[in-house]
Amino acid sequence: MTISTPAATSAPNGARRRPGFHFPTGKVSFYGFCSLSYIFLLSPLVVVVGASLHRGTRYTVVKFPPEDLSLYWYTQIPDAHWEALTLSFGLAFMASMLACVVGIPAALGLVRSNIPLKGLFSSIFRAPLQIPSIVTGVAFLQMYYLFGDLTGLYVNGTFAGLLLGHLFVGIPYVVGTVGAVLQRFDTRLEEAAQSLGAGRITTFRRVTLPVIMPGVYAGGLYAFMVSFGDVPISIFLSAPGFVTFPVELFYGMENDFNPSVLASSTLVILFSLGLLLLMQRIVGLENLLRSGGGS
Amino acid sequence: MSRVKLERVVKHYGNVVALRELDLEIQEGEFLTLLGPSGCGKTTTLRLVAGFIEPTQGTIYLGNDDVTYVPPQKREIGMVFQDYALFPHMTIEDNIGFGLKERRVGREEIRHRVGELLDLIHLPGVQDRYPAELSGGQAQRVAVARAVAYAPRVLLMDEPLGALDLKLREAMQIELRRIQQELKITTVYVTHDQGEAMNMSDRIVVMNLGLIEQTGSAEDIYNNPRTKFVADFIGSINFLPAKIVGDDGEWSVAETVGAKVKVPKSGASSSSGEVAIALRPERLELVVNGGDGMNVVPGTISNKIFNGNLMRVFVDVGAREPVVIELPPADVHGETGDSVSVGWAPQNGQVLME
Repeated sequence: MTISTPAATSAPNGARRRPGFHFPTGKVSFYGFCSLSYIFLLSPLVVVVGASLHRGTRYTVVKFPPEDLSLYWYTQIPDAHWEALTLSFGLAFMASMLACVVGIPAALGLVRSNIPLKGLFSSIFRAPLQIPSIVTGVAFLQMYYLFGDLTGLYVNGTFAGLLLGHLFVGIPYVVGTVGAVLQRFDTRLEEAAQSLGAGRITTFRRVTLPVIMPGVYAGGLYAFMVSFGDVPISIFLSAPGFVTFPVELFYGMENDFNPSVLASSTLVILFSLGLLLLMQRIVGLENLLRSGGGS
Repeated sequence: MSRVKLERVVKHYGNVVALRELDLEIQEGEFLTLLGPSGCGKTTTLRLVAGFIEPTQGTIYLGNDDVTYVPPQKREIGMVFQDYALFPHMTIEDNIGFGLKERRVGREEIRHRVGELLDLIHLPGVQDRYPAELSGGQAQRVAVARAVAYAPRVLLMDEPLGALDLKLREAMQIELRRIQQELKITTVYVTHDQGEAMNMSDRIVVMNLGLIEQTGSAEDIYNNPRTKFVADFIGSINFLPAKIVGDDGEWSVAETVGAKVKVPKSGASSSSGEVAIALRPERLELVVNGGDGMNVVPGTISNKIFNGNLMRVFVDVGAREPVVIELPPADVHGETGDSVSVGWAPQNGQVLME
């Protein structure tokens, strides 16, 4: 093809761009699509938050948009919700911490070592994600009964029992994200540290761990969120009077719905949002320092 | 006393032989370059000295200590990597001070020493920046400062300029050599770039296929390559296929592309088999008539390339490839297609085994 002169560009075959106004079809459809996606993702949250602000009466159904703005239902959050929230928070915190303690060495082993059957070990660490949670819940309960029958120590309905179940589904997230960061990790950094006199432990503490920290934060956050929002496992492993927040909500909705549920849900949404923003700040900053440093 | 010594060192990776059997001594304060194509064993040698890998056989000494199985953190070495390997989450001061901190040097003293080192690398005032904020050349100078901060027994550099562009690379060669000489630090440098090796080194070790081909100063290796591989790897060179046919007392006589030429006597010139005459392009001339005492081979100009300060003339003499001659442009008489003769003084042709 020959290079056309400016005059030739406006000739019939190249006439798609005429001078004057062009409707920006591409841009409009792009932003339109993005907006629809956001609306889809955010509208349930907006409804919950909005409806929680509607005063109404005890037996009002969800009312959106709220007509009678008030924080009334926030004062009506039952004690059981606060207790369940405390339990859920403690549980999610412990589960995500322990998931990191177990997941980081596991990821190191899976990425770095040349053990035989590495693929099999990787799959085992991914397996909890592939089992439906409800099955995991039933399996853990059965296991606890068996264990209890053997030893007389029944952990179902205890904090430890819940923690183990939540750890089980949390670990794969940490192994996944830390593993992904380790794949890209420049091992020369460790060699450099060693050549400067740092032993294995110091090298891990001063170089490896800080560099893979974004992966740890991300994985830990996932583990936290999965634990915090879990119903199917917790419903089997909790006991009457000892339930996690989502399970408490679930029971509450089944038996006696009232808008205080919306109020405590809103608090959880705000808390999660804050946590996400905090992580974004930490991980985002770390990423900024990472990029270019090793390249 | 030698600073670094490798004795009969062999390294296998599974079935692959990376080093056949290496003997090498590096003197105190020497800048030694391991030069060769990829896979020649130069990086393996460096990593053996650093302690990142262990030899299959043989012994490695640093000073008088046998360090063959000593881990890198106990070897007192400084290492510079091609991609800098600066710690991205630490400031420049913490990077340079890393080794000092490991050696329990006080904070004030580290601050002071880092300042001195930044002056040495001509990069004062960057203490509080992060590696991502530096350019490639700056990052590599910081990497050098980090490696020499606690006066290691030997400085090891693995293609440290490989990631930089050509102009910067040349400036950095001078810079690295200056730092090395100011500190008088024993240095082992790995590169595949012969120009880099020649610009910086006291001594060059040319390696190929896990063996040392030749060791010597840049001049020595350029002027007296012992093998065709070395001659070809260092600078550009022409090879003419030849056969030794006689001896006229001072010179050996060889026959090449139909002409009889004189060549210096050497081990290879007493061989009766196929040999090659190695000719540097800048030591060849275009001979118009006679050329007394010179070796002369007739041919035809097949191409000319103007290179600024030099003209490269390609002369087809009937060998597999045309002979390349480098001349000042004013000395080139003749056009493409003209019949000319290529001439050289007998001492400038070197006989190498095929």
